[in-house]
Amino acid sequence: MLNPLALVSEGADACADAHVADACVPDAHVADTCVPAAHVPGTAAPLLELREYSLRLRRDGTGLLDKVSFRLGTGEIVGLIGESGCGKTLLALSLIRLLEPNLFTVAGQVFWRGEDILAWPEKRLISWRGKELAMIFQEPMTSLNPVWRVGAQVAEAIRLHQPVGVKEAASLACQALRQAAVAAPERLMRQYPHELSGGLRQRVMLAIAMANRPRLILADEPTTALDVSIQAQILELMLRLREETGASFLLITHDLAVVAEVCDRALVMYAGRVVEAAATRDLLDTPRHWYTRGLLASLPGLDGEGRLPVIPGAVPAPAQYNWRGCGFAGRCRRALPRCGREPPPWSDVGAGHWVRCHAPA
Amino acid sequence: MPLLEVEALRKYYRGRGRWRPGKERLIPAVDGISFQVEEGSALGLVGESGCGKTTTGRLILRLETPTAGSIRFDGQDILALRGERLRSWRQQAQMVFQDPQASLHPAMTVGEAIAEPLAYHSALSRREREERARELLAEVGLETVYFHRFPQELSGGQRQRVGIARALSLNPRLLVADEPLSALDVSIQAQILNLFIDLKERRRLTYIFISHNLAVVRRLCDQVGVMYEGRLVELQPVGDLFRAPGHPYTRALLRAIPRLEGRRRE
Ligand SMILES: Nc1ncnc2c1ncn2[C@@H]1O[C@H](COP(=O)(O)OP(=O)(O)O)[C@@H](O)[C@H]1O
Ligand code: SF4
Ligand SMILES: [Mg+2]
Repeated sequence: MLNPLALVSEGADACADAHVADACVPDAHVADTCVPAAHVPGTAAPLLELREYSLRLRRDGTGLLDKVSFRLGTGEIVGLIGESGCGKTLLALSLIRLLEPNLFTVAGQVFWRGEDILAWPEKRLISWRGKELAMIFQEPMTSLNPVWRVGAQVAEAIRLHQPVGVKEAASLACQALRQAAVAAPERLMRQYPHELSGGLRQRVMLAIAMANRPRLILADEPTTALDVSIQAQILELMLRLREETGASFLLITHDLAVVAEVCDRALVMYAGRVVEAAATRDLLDTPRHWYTRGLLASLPGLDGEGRLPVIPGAVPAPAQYNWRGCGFAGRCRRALPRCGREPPPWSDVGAGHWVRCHAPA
Repeated sequence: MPLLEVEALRKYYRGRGRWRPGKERLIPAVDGISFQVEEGSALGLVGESGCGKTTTGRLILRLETPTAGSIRFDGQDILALRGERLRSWRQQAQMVFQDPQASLHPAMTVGEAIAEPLAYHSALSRREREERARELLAEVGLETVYFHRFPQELSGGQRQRVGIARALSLNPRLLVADEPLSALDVSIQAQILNLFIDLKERRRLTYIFISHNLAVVRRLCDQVGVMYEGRLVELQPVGDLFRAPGHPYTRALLRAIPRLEGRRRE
């Protein structure tokens, strides 16, 4: 496995020796900004690296993402997990720079192979987006053009980034569809999106995303709207594409079982923050954050009967995110009095497993 | 005697088939299925989308007319019902949908939406209807503050609770729930699933619970019917089905469920 490391920070130097972040900064109110230094095995440069990336609404300053830091290596499949409303899609849209600058303010850095993309001009983004980095969404119909045949749409995506003629683009499009395990790509090329099943549309989206051999694919709930059997096929396809092309994936989902099936490593998000990060096996076998524990317990599995243990309540709207303390305090059965008013520090609980909790499990 | 008896039910549509171009012909959506459901028990119908689960539910509710077959409820021939008695059947059997948003009017408050069926089907006064709606709101686990909210202000899970309260307002005996969890986060699915389990016990409700996920069905249902291309390929008590799935398609469905053991990555 590549780069198991999870978290880094600009303030890393300041707390290089500290295992618990709040031990390193005298100023209490900035304690939560100090993320422990990363223990990087080797020096392989990450493909993508976020450093304390924060996002707010320009209108009223409502906080949406709070100092998110992580790295993603070449060929890795990283899961981003959390319930609806935790900020997963906003994070993905940030990574591909698709957020409307008039609506949001950002802070922090997003490094793509060592360069901060937040400083890139639009022109550079256009040649990068869809070429180096691609994104697929839960509902493929929102990104497919209903009046264009499938073949034309895949070919168009190719022509946008590769200097090829119409004919060659069509043959590359056919190859891309075949790679996405479409049984009869030639016939599919002539069909319109509405003629396809949900699973086939998602394969077309994957084909478009993979057509220019990107290094990273952001997949936002790609299987949530699909039946379990089609979901299984799409997940297997992702694993195969990674194998064949060496591409990395950031897989966004609300289902830990999906993470278990395909991800090397996962980040758990709650209320605009990453609260736990670990290799998948560690995260599932020894979850340390009470939110992760709650998510795990609420999965139905195949052997239990009757009622399920649930996390009470729901994710609050961003205006109600509590960043003064632990964002999860309102729903946590283990909450201590200080959980509501002190941001939990990051702690390193071993082997690249990080958790942000005052009283980890 | 079983409360609901469905026999050799068929529904054919004239069409071109879903994803296939070509000539118009008769397409079987439901192709001769039979089952029985005891009072207070739940039948799970599983299978991939398009296999005929929704159509089966709609036929039972008499929202569509079968091509052939019979449906009996409490000894009554449902397909023979007309006028007032059909109206009464549509009160006794209610539906819960995948996307409650689609069944809730955006200009109606939660309270109004829950009380609305009572205005048409009961002699209750306005005050009594409101009273009843508040009780139902509490029964599905929503605080009274939501009474005056609009559906758009609610989360997906809360909206599904409202959809359930509305379906319960006329004290139905049969609830057809069509993929009621599929649009929700896994964590919220667990909350709503628990609500279905509670209601089943508290009200002795009889369910047809439609889902594509066997793991969910296992928690609630007493029997499971596996549908494939309009037919029931397997029908078993839930324990037996999980212990010894008989049909290869059932085994494929079981294998498809993502597991925490993460077999695919290895
Ligand atoms: N009104 C209709 N006209 C034509 N075909 C229909 C109609 N309703 C359903 N079907 C078809 O019948 C089949 C079964 O549909 P449905 O009952 O909706 O399955 P499910 O609930 O499992 O998704 C599908 O192929 C569907 O396209
Ligand atoms: S910090 Fe406190 S409230 Fe947050 S998860 Fe840990 S124990 Fe629960
Ligand atoms: Mg359906």
